[in-house]
Amino acid sequence: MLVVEDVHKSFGDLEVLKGISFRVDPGEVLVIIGPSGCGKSTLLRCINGIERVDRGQVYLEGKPVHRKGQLYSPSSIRQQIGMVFQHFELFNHLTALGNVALGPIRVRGLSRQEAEERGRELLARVGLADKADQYPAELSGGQKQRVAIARAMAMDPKVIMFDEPTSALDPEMIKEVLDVMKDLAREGVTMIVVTHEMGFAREVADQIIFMDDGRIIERGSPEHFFNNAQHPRTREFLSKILY
Amino acid sequence: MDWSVLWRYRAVFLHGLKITLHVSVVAIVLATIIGTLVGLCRLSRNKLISGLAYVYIEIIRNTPLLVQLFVIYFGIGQFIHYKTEFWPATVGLAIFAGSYVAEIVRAGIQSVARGQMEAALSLGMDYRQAMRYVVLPQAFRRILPPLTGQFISLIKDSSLVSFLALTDITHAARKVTASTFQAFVVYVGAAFLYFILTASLSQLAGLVERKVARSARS
Ligand SMILES: Nc1ncnc2c1ncn2[C@@H]1O[C@H](COP(=O)(O)OP(=O)(O)OP(=O)(O)O)[C@@H](O)[C@H]1O
Ligand SMILES: [Mg+2]
Repeated sequence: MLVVEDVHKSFGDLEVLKGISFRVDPGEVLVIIGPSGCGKSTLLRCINGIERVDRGQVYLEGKPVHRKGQLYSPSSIRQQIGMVFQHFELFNHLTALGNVALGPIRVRGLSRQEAEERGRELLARVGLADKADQYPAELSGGQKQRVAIARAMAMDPKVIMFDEPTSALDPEMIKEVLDVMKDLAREGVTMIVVTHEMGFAREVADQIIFMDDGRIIERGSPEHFFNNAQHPRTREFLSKILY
Repeated sequence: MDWSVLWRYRAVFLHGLKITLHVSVVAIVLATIIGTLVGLCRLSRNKLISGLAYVYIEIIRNTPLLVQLFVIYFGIGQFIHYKTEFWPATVGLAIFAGSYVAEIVRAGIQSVARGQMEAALSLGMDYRQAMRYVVLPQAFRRILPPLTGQFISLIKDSSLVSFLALTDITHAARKVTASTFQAFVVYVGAAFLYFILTASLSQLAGLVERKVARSARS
């Protein structure tokens, strides 16, 4: 369904992605791990096409994400690839419901009433039915991130990408967000998750990719990863992160 | 000192107040439009567009307003015949204030983090929608205080349109002084009228700010 093919990306002299390839099938959860600065966030931005690639291509259901001469991928592609950010990036001038309804209204052309009805359902699904009318400034970190997940879901995307969704959260809020993500995975939502939460990866991932310095240096199932990772860099990273 | 002058000539002053208010309100609206457009152009990836915006801002900010008004009124007036003084004066003020508004708008947009733009794009919005529905509304909250300051300056600067024979407050004061020789009383009265206008604008801005305050914290 989603195919990433030999993606290269540099910022000036700094080569951040040095040929990344993988595929994600419907209903699959792909977890990407790797040290800070290895290019994970850049990769996600290249996948939904809000960042251009220098070489390579990404295909969503066979359609190329990157088009010649375009700064961003077409809206039709972007709205099918949801994104959840480390720092939530909720729209601070809108209520939780306003955040969830904005995309459906402006991009999909739903009426406000339809969009809000659907938005309330989604907020209920992430356990925030009673927070619909709160502004982001009035929510906790965990609540903000759950609103952000509902906002991404509201576009009915084919795949949702999560960029370290829990790393800006206080420990006691991490679980509530991971639980929502696990629910989504169980319901068959296709997901790409950048995270350092190894418990989540072990439990939910179908595939794990380990990135280092712009390359994928190891990939496999969670069993493979946690029991017999081959590459010394992977072992080193895992031993640090698992203590 | 004869303070009754103010009352006796109240019709002249009130007419002046009306003209100043009219010029200021229209110029504020125009300056907001010009400033927003130029501020957006300044941020354009197109070098020509951002370059032109930069040139406009620099030229306008580094020349005196009175000279700019004379260029428009007398200079361009050599070639086109203005039917009234109102439009050249008001547009001149707007072009001047617009350059400051443009810088305020640019800074406001830049202060709304790049992540907000990315979040909007990730929902499938195009650049214009992201600006309109996500970035600008948030930038507006940050822009409001400096913008209010700029508009207060505009009201004060509007006294220069009296040099273009527009019968504003300052013009009224000159006229009344000429016939009563009560310069002190008359100009203190004129200052008071300007103060009423600027203080009302401050109050109005404060009201709007409080209205949006709930969501502004973040
Ligand atoms: N827009 C940009 N311009 C220049 N350099 C950039 C840009 N975006 C990212 N980089 C650089 O590219 C490298 C990879 O960044 P990226 O954010 O993708 O890493 P990451 O794996 O997500 O790291 P982290 O774990 O810290 O989030 C970093 O060295 C970063 O400084
Ligand atoms: Mg990152």
